[in-house]
Amino acid sequence: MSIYRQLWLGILALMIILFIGSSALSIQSARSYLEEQLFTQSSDGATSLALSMSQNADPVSAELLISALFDSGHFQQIRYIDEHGKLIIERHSATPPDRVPEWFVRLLPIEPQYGKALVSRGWEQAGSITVVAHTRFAYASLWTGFKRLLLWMVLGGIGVGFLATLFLNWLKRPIVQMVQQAEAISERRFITVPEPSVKELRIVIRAMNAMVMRVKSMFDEQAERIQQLRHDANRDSVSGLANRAYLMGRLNSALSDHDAAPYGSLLLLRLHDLQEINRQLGRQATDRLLVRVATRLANACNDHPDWLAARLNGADFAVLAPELDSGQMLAEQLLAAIAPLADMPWLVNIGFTAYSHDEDSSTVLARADHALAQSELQHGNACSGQSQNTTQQTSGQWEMRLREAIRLQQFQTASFPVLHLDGSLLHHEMVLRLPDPESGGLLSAGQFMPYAARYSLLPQLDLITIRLALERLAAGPDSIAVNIAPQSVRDAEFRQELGRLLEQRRDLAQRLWLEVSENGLTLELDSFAVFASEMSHAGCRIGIEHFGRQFGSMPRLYDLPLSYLKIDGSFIHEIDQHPGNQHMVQAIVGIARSLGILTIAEQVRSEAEWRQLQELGLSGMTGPVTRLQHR
Amino acid sequence: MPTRTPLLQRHVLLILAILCCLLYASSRSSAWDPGRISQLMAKLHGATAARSFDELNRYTASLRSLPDEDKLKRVNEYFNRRIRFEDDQLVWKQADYWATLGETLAKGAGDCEDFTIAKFVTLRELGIAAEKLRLTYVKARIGGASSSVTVAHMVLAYYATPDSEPLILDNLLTDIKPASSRPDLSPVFSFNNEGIFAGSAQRPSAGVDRLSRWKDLLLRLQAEGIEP
Repeated sequence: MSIYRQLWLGILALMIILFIGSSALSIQSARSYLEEQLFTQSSDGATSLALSMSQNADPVSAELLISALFDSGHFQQIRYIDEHGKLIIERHSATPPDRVPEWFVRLLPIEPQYGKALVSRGWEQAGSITVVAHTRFAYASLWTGFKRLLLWMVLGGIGVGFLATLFLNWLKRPIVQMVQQAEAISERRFITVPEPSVKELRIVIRAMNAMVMRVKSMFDEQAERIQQLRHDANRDSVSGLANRAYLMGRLNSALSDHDAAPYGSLLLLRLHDLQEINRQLGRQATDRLLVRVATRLANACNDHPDWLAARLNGADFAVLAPELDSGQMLAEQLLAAIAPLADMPWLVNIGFTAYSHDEDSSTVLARADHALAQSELQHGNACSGQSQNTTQQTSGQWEMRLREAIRLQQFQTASFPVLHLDGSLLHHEMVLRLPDPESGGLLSAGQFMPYAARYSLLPQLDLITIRLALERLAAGPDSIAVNIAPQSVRDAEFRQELGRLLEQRRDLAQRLWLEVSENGLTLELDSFAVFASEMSHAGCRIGIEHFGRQFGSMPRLYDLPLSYLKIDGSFIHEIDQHPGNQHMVQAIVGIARSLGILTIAEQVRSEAEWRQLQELGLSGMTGPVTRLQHR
Repeated sequence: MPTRTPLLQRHVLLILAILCCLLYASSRSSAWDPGRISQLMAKLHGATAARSFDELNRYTASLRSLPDEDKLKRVNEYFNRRIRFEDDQLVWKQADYWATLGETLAKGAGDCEDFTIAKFVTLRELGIAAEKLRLTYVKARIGGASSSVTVAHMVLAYYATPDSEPLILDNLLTDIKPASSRPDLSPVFSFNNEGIFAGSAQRPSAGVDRLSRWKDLLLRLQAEGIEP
């Protein structure tokens, strides 16, 4: 029973006891007052009757006098006993009290005392008169009083109940907030609540708030440190762009992630003869030029969260643009933007190439390098390269195709194992595949998801994946992770439908892991918080994949009910040779562990990386290496 | 069982002892406790009252073994001699005041009601049953047999049996006479303390102003330790 209900019942019981006690007391005192009144009336009656009878001592007069008094109706008994104790006359009335229930009479009996007076006949004794006053008027008066009291009691009870409810509601608010705060803390979420005006509660809440604030600032400091480490390890200090190692990691992800876009472009950009520029302008001006170039590149990537601009070394820059089938336009734009930055006839060359999923990163780089060399042959600002030469279906066709696949339930699934450090299975990551009638093969998620996003079909595809995942969960003992698009997280209808699905299979929800890419998450943080809280209530585990990919912002982990993080492959790439990323991953593992969050490394390729990650204390890994490690 | 009998006997003895005490207490219900009354009188009415009471007590102690008739005579004489007849207006500055035994002894004076009350109380103490005594309002003709002047008066009447002729104890006469020898008195109304406190539950709880005069007097007597 809640403290609120206990208090309410306590107050009510107290008031009822008080009311009943005071009513009993007042009824009791009214009753004894009435009894005294009746006695007085009896005595008075007896005395005046005896006095009259002493004056008119003959038997007839005596009887008349007695009858006259009795017939007034105020007495229930009059007895005349002679001097020898013999009963001479008795009048008795047994009229029950008017409109007074019998139980009441039985419950509160009024026992009137008789009044007695002596009768004489001259000097002779003539006996005594005993008179008992009638109780029915007393009963009527007591009954009326009782009813009135009862009415007041009921009204008072209602009033007190109402006031008690108001009071307790007022008192309850901070307690409820306190309980919510405590619950949140036990879920490793840290919220503060307003201080109440009740002194004792205020002290408790102040202490809890202070504790929460300390924990928050601790986590914030830790997060800042991670940002700093990530920045130091993956950024070029002069231009502020990503460095070569990070670009290589991302390029690898773009070529091998199962949900990465099927194609894209890579641009390489070289400032001509940086040494000459350095000599002419001086070191500081050269650095300024580098920064300005970097800014132009970064601006070009602004509208595409997937795109990445990097400084590879000295005079070399690169732009990775997934889903861009031709680098031609981008290269020309950049050329136009960068050429005027210095007063030189030959400042910049750009080489670009298209790539497609599953190509080798060195092949792509070699092709881009070749294009850059071609451009440099022109001895002036120039760009050259080659575009993807694929037979692209038009968007309209894609929409029809996807809708048909949804309608006919043509989707299939593929899954990739995510392993514990010891090689045992943590869960399977499940993705959709669409059969391709032309090639007879299967299209990867990366190939059709961009179109699904364009036509707002992602929530539907995500639901299909979850249905398929639930089917598989029902069939086997393993856990399954499903990727949810940020667009779906935002979609209330999707959340509702998902909630309904999970409601039906509560038993399976425990083994369903739902993850959202950090890419779109920063824009959807509020809806993600709602989604995460709803789904973790339903029993699912919630995670973030590609964690760390977005520079500049890191979600506040302590605000979200997270179960796991998948750390982006770009930091994992050759981590065994990259102390900076080792520090950063270690810091992430540290903060996650203190919040009870699992950490999983993405895109682990080599034994060396695997061993390094084991040392760093990660909970699990995924990527090509799992083929070797899985037992 | 040897141990059981003494236990039972002890219990029986205890119960008998309690019963004896109760019986004694009830048989002595009209008797007073002189030491206590004396103290109370000293406290309430001063040393004179206590002294007068002690004297009265010694006197009544000597009467205890006498027959009722003699008790009546001696008590009547005692009060008629010791107490001055004075009007209430003079003694109490009130039109009509019923004084207790202690008050009367303290003042050494009183009117007819005060005499009657003092005699009633004393005779009750001497073991005369309440139903034999009646305080009686009478019309007294003064100034000879043919006079038509009457005054309100009170006397104490003693009925040896319910239908016998009463003996009249009057503060105006030292002798006790039967009612038939008192043609100057015509009775109007009589009472005693029967039916005043009907049952033990009717101890005073209401304010004194709501009590009859007689009941009020009885309460004041109780305060002096006297329960007639």
